Amino acid sequence: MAFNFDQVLHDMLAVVTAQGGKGTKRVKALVQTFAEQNRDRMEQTMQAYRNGELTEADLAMYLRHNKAILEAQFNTVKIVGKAAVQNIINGVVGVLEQAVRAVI
Amino acid sequence: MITYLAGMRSITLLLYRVTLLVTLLLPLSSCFSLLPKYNEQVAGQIEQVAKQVDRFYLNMLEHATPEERVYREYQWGYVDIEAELIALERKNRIRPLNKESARNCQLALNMWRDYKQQHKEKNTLSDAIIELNRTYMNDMFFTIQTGEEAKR
Repeated sequence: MAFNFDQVLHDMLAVVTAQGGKGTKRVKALVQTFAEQNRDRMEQTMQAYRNGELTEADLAMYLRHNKAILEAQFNTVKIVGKAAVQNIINGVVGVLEQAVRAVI
Repeated sequence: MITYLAGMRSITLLLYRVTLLVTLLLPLSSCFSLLPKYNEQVAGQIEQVAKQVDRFYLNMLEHATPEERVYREYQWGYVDIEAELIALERKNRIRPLNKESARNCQLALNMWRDYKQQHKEKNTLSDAIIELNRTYMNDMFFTIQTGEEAKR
């Protein structure tokens, strides 16, 4: 069986498009969820502060923790992005592997 | 004869290309990793410590009035959870390619230590503060869990 470079390239591009699309959707959905969580958490914090439940020191701590959660969310978006790129690489290498095996 | 030689040449060329592809590209699938493999044990441990924190605060809300919520009554709970978070951070830190998850566990541990200190200083916690601490820890655990699940 001949090795069809055009077909392999076509299949590889199809994998990149499909996996890339999936990855982008996943990241968008995650960022949306994080944004909603951050809004609700800040509202809850400000409500407690307005009700006199928090001291200035408490408020400063929660603001610092909001920053920590934002950093963690950024790290997680990075992980999800890396996972999407990893899926693309695995898919492309998988297409090549299949094509090469078919020739051998 | 010429046709035979041309045929041999194209077969040799094809074999050369295939060998080159196999040599250069196939090892990539196993070598080119951006993330560690999903670890079921770590995922389970995140779930477990998240539940432990939730149970700790829910018990505090249900079974004690603000006056009864003295730090001494809860110090072992704080220590148990802190030990779990330290173990989780260590497990994540020793996994290669896992810088982000290890950092997230460190951030969760720092937050937990702040809540322990807050309780120690006030020697009580209001319902509103308990609810806030639950929310902050839950959001942090959700972030950590999402990161681990993405490695599947």
